[in-house]
Amino acid sequence: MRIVNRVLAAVLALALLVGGLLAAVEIVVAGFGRKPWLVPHDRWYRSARTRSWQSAPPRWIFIGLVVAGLGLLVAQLARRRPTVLELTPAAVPADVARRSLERALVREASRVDGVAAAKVKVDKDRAEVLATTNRRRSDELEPRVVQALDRRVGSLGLARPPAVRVKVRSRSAV
Amino acid sequence: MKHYPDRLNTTVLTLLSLLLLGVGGYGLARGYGAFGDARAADPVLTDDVRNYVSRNQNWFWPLAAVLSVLVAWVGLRWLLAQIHAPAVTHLAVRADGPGHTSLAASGAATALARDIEEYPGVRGARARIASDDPSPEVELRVDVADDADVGDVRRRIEEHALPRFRAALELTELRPRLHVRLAEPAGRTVR
Repeated sequence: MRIVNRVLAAVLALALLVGGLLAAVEIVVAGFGRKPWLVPHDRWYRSARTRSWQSAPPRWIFIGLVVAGLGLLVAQLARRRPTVLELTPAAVPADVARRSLERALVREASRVDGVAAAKVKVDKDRAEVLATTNRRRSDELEPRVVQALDRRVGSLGLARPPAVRVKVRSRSAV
Repeated sequence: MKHYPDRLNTTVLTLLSLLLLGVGGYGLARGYGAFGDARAADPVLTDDVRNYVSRNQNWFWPLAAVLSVLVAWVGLRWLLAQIHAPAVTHLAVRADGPGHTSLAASGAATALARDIEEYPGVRGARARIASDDPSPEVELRVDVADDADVGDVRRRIEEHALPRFRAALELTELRPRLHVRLAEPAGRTVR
């Protein structure tokens, strides 16, 4: 979502930059009594004088504004996973990058004997782990993965260590 | 913690969404007769607005042009914020005598990063001086290997690297912030 916001911000910032400059130029051009340079504001002006609030074109424009506003608002209010997890308070405030923690937990889970692969998703207070094993029976693997990852998470000194939840899937069962 | 442009983007985009909703909602409400049928049948640009602008055109249009340039400037600043976060280029060094001495901030930051890279378990480090108001704000990004103790690296930075940095630059105050990235130990690959 941060990437979406960056792209949206860049596009809107560019629109403000170009729009602002164009508006200033058009005002100056109109001040000298010349025809519009790029923006057909004379047509827009005539249209705004003749069309009422209840006519179709303004209504579609307002619908467009409401839809764009709602879309933007939903995008801003959407719940996002944190980019960092804070470490315990000390003289120097510190945090750990969430993605690097996810990769570290993948490595840790993969070191457990019997785990062939792992996927990890870390949220503010949960670390969901999906481990895959080549063994037929996976029930005895789960507590060992939980123990290894709990130890790893505990060693970091996170202010709010996420609770580790592990699911083990046997490849033979897939 | 959010990075600078992300926080800015969220704030500006939220305000913009509320503005769009407000304008669009007002336009629709007026068009559907929420303020009376007569107002719904009004032209979008009413005579009152036209008369007001023509009565005040000696200041209205110059002001509109200035505001347009201001909007363009805000757009430019916002666009630049996406490309790079603000950073300090020079740090003033305390001097007892007359004159003024400053130090390239990137040089000081690099020296600090090199210091941290010497610690066992540190795979890499970067330092950046993000601002110097009211005191230098130092952002540290440190890659710590899986087999290292994050707490120990943090303690060394707090008790060794930062005091050395502060002493070297004769800084009375420093606002450090540490960002840790967990990295593979050297010579290993992810399965």
